[in-house]
Amino acid sequence: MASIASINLTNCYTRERVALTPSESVCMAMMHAADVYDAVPTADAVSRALAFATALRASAVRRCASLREAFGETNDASSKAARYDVNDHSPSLMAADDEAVLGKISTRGRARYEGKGWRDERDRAVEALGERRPSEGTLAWIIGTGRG
Amino acid sequence: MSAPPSRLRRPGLLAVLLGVLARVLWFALGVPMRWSLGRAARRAARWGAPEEEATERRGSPSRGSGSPSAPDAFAALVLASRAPGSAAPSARDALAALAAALRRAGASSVPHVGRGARLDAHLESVAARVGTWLADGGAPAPLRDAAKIAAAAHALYGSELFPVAHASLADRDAVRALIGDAPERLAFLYATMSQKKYYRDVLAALADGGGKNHSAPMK
Repeated sequence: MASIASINLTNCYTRERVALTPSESVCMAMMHAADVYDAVPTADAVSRALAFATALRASAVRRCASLREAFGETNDASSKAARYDVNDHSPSLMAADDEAVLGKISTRGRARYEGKGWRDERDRAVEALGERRPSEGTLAWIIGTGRG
Repeated sequence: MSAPPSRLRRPGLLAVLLGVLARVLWFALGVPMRWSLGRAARRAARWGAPEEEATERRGSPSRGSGSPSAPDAFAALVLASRAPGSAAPSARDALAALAAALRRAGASSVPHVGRGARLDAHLESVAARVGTWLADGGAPAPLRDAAKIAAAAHALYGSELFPVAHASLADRDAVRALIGDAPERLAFLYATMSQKKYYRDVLAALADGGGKNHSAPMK
């Protein structure tokens, strides 16, 4: 099972390294996932970035339940966290826009969504602004998914 | 509740250009960016700085190592902010005070990724997603609140990829007073960490099934 808990951070000002606590690692993963997600104006231009954000988010979600004890809360076996399955993209667990992203990152899924006339809210907003798509190469380089 | 005085301000063009240059040298040659900061901010950027250690002591007597069995100092810091008598602002007050301070500092006119996108809207959007996603995951409510506030402040000090800082790292005390110790700690880590390195380590962890400690130096 993929985990983000053991990743150390590197200080870009000093090169220091630090290990995060479990609760910090979940918060940090969620913040980065949301940051990448929100900074991508169009879904299909940088689909790998969105796939990255979605996977990072899922990895953080999987660790949420394990934090409850540190906060004096008990884990209810029927809770949403306990039931979470990364392969379960049902609307009850995944926001509607995530469903769209997951559709976008697979060609078949994308065709299925677009075939139904589905449009991402970002696409609509971008169209309204006359937005150009950001450089896929730049973001892919930052995230590390670039080719070459 | 009246918000504490804010030290937030829009950076000048020179500061932004200096930040851009520092990032170019960091990415191209691996030169740490501390040279681009003033003396006080340079000290504050250190993760081992005395004030950073003091913050951790307020939360817990020992720093967690990151392993599942280690004491979670950050969890203790979050819980301390909820303790009776704590001076930490409520989540609602912190978010409102932060939004007002950012507005006064001109964040609504600072461009973010994409034409027409603005920093304040991006911060609000990221905060909303973090709050929703942590709730979806069943994260403890105090942690969810702290992370949501931190997300609303994640670019306050700038970041590795965003050279526009509305607060100096030397002003961490003022930011703590504004949003609370725990959210500020997350925002501080976010601002001073290498995002590029983190993203690549995440990809490696996701690819190999996780659990390994990816501590190789940045290439």
